Amino acid sequence: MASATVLDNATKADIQGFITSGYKHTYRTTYLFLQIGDVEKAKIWLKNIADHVTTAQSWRPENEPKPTRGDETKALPKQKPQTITNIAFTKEGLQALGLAPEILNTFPAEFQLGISDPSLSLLRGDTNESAPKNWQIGGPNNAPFHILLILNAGHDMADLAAITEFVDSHRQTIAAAGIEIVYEEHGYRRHDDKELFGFHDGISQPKIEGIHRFDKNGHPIQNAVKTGEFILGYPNAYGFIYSGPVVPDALDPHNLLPYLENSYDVYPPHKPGTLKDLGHNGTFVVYRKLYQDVKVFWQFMLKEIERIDGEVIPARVIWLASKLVGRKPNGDPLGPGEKEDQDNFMYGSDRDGLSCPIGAHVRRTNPRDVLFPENADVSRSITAKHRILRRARLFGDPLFDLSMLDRMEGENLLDKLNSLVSNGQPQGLHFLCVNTGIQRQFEFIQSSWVNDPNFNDLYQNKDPLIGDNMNPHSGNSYMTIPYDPVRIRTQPLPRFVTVWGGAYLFMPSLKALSFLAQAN
Amino acid sequence: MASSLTVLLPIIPGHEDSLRKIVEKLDEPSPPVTIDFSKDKLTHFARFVILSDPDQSKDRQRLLFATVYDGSLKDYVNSLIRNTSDTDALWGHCEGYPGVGNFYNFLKDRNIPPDTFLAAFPEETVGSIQGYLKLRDDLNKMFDVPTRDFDRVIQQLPRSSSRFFKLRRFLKRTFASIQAFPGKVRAVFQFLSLLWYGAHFWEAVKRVVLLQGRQPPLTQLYSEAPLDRNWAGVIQPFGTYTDPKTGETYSDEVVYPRQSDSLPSFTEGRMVQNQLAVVTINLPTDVMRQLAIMAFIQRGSNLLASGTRIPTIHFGAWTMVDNNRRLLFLSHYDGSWENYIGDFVDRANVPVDAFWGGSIGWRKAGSRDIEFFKEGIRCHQTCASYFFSAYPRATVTGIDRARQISELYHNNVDDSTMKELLKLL
Repeated sequence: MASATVLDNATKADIQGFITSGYKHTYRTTYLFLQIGDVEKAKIWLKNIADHVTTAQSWRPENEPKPTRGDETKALPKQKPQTITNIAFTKEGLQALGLAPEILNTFPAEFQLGISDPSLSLLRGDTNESAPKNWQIGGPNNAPFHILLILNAGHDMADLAAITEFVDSHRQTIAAAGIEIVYEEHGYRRHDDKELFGFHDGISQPKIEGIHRFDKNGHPIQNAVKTGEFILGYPNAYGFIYSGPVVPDALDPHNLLPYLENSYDVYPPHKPGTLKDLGHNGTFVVYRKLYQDVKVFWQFMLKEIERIDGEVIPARVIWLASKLVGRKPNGDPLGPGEKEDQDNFMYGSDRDGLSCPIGAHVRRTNPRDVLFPENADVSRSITAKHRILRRARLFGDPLFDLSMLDRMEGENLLDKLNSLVSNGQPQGLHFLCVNTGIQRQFEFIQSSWVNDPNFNDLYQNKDPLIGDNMNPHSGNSYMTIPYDPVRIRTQPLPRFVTVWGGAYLFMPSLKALSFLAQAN
Repeated sequence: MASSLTVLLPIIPGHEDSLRKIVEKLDEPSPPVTIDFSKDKLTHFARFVILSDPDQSKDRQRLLFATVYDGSLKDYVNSLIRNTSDTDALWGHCEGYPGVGNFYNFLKDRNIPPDTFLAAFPEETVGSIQGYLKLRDDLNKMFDVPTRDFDRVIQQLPRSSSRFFKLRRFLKRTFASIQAFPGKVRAVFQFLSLLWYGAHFWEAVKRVVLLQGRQPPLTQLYSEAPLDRNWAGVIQPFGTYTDPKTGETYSDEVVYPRQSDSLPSFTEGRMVQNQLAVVTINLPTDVMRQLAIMAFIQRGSNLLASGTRIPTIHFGAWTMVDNNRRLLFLSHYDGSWENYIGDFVDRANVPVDAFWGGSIGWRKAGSRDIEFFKEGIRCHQTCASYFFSAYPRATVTGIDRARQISELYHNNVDDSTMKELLKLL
């Protein structure tokens, strides 16, 4: 079997940077959901866009001496791009560009079916108010879109000018190409990286074996996830290279794509060795627009603590919320020892969940080394087969000063949480994630870890934050918090997060993008 | 002790749609026929699946009715008749149905005992499992109180006398051992009778036992999964086999189109429990080996009194049908399909490869090539038109835990057992 391959800069130049970087030096994002009108003009536009797509290439200056191993922190400063463009396509978009059915048939089944397929929606828990029929984007009652253009800019949360100017520069070329912007969404990052319930988010992203070699302290990264989990064309966590999507070589007359190296390629009537690899260096992206009901979330905490304790103490309100989330508001894990690295810890010393409940959101979406009844090694191995890379941005202003949760402002905090009112705009998350196997990674987490009320020996306990709680068909879902002498169990959990939109997208390599710009 | 009934009944030509409508609507508010499987508390699981019947002709279909039940077959069939609103209306679409009067013999004569049947709780009845779950539920509700009331509730839990507890436990265990002794002796003789399979027996030992943890490393980098993933399109068979002596060609048979699991009975329970019905075609050269493997696993399991190896399986049954031409696999499991198949690959790929290694179209990497394995299962599975579970929201580990809670609750003798009980809630 192939050993871990470190991707060189030439290879990275073919990979979209969205996969390898969260662009944390930028704070504003605009998502343009586009619909192709004139196909030929759109292809010309695509050809031009390809020159501007941000790749995974190193941001270190060219022709400078390569930093020595383990010494990367002492290398020259990175030249980070100030405006960033990435692009992805829905199945409808690929069809609109004229991709032949025999090519489309080689995309994964879930991508072909689409995110709003009824059986897939049920599997993910997108039911009742989260059902696709109620969505704003990507549902059966919404205008279809073909392309998602992701634009990042802004060196600061308040820097609106940079993103506005950047987006406007794209608007003109989009309009000239006969492309319609069917939806336009805006997102941002906070400096403290909190999401709008008030908890530090985006911690513990998996590291890609072929990309990330050293951490910020110069130490070799342990437990990196196989490259093939996030970039097509490389060995995944099972040790295999997933094949697909593919193009018969007769349909790539300009020889833009690499040949598929799979000697088994089983795709009658095509002979082995006659297929091109459209997926190589690409990936799949899942988009979901998630509405967060901040008021309901904190009202539940206040009411529950009063029921559980008989009184409302601010520290206990935050304690309860932290137990549901699986971290403290500042991002510290709930496990023993304050000095634990926020990014790197295990649950082995907390198998009973007395510190971090097994049903907590953060723990069940990444169980690490505890998946009953397996031992730590097997648990880690199983977990590694179901990771996703998250690339989220917020929408809507917070309902209160989120830093109050870190400062533990006592009665002030209680007053504020008791009196939360809408500020006229919804709060939430533009959730995006990267994975090469949507079914095995994103959908698996949603169905087997988030929405299974019996996950990891739990009992009637779906994910408290994003589970489809209050689903009348599947019975009540409670948060169980291990406690001495006996567990605390909340009242039935309401739905705190509602899905407002979604899409399954193919994010091609730069070569594949050139191919799409020329496909007939 | 739970038993299984599996029948494959050819459907009268022209009756396929009528029968399908009946079985697919069994769960609906006003169905043409109703069956109350829950009433007599004898049925653990039951399903109706409409399969193709290619040995008759490519258009023929047959009804698979499979159930896991308690008690005798006669009592079970009588219960089935009693709790079906119109037995003739359903079963009358099957060839040879003689009417209610001779229904028991009709099913008994057509019952195909599984070659391997593994159950998570073979000794438990529907009543006992439902009892454990109810107790767990009741205890949880008792403790849904403020933390200051925990001690008060704990005091309310019954305490057994420790004086007689040890004696009672000793007598219970001794009686259980005496009861089990004849079965153990039978299991030993049955296991020894595997020697009748000769060389195939040793092959079974090698494939099921000796390969555990010692499989040769994979040398291939690429999956052999078919590249055509069109959900609704034509699927190519996974392979063919030509007998070198006779020149006869046997082909794999795939289910077309792939069935998305959107049938009515499938939807609500999918988050907790699911079912699988898979039919694969055996290589004629490997049939004896397959039979030896299945017998080895069954009799080995009986001898060790071990249940299923995968903690999410309620039961799994492998049955040779159609004169050993095909292997029928039925299973009832926890969680999603993706999780279940992943479990097979992560926890039990050696026995999985042993079971299906003799199928037409099986690849060298076997279940370790997970994409191929998943496609293989998808292309050979048929969704149930209806399935029933006596405890649809309970998982295997949940039932086991509820059983432990019941044991501790009824033998709560001191603070130590109390602590253990509370930890399990």
